Amino acid sequence: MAGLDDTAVEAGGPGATLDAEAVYRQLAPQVLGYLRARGVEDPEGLTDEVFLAVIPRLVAVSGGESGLRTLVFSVAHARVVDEHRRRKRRPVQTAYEPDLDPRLEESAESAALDRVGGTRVDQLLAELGEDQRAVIMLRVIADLSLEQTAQVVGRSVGAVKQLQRRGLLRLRELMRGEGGR
Amino acid sequence: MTEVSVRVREMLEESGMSGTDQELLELLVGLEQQYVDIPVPEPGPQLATLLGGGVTGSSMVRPLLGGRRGVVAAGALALSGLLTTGVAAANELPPPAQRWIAEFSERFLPFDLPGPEDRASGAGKHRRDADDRGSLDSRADSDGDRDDHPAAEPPDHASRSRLPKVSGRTPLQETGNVSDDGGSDGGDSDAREDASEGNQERTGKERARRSDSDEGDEGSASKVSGEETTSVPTSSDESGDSEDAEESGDDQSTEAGDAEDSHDTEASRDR
Repeated sequence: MAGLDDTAVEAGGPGATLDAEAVYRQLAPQVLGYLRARGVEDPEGLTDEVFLAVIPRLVAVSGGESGLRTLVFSVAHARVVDEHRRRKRRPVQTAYEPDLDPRLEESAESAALDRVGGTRVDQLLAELGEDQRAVIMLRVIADLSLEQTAQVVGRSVGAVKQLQRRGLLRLRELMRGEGGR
Repeated sequence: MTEVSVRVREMLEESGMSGTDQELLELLVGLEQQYVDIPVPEPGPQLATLLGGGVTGSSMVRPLLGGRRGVVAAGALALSGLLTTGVAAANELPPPAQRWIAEFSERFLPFDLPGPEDRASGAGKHRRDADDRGSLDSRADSDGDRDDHPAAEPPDHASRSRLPKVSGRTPLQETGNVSDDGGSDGGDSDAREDASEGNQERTGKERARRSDSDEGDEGSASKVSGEETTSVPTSSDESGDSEDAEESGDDQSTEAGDAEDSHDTEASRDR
């Protein structure tokens, strides 16, 4: 994954001048992908909100590219957590759509498409716990290190490492279970 | 091998799976391709405004502070305007400022604010009113109907009129210094009584005051008479004037007072 351009982020600590547009161009796709993978209702709108919150704080960013990336995904993760909590308090009611009902017998075609496309990944990830899913997505999609991920989710590095390991083991089990069917 | 694959391999190594599980590796790479390799989303209008022109973090804060400063400045301006208007309405500003505001309000505003000349006490205002009435007096003087209405105060003696009245008259009337000449009310009899009692020890100064009060009485009375009558003086008026003339002749006081009285008489006769 291409990192942030060195001209966009000066690792000079607080007060460094950042090109907000360059930061947006570089990180917005990853933020949008993370929000989509976490299943938020309006990922595009939430991406806007994330950068509206981040850009005024660019002057206070320290730690160069790593610090900036940690800040951006900290904000994004916090927004996801907020939305999930809100959804638990007020569940979203939608009209019934038979195509989306998983209890129906799936056709051979849709099963094949699921295996080829990303939907299978989503289904497998959906079987993980909330924290396991968050850690794996932050590491893969946001390209964060263990330390950065620990900062974003507010856990220790050891705890994040354990969550990651259990998540990967669970995924492997699920894939083997699929192959055994 | 891409950088993402490096990250994925790192994850597997950290978890003790060391990249041997190819299926899991493919799953994680598929996750990356699905959610990372996507085009840059179009920023919303608010974010686009924020991003426009290569905005830096430090310049983000300025518009907010500027807006707040603008609100504070507008509030301060409105408050100072209200305060100035209130102080000007109370006529408490320095005279030049008060005059300027009075002229401004007279020309451009739907209401008038007082000028510095209005700052004087109520007596001053009475004095101006009296002056206005004085012009009427000179016109209504020809009626000769003087002091028919004691309620009308002599304008030049506004300060005196504030003294406590006894039996509905001013102290001057009580001392008999007021010549109720020409009046048909009880004032005439009082004057006559005073005259008959030999109250003739008036100094020239008192006479002068009397003449003043006469003028004032004329003013107040003529104002009323100007409203009520425009006819020729009655005989009682003439008699009153002549009586006054007699009185002045009897008084043997200063010649100036007599001259005034006789002048009054002549004037009333001319009328």
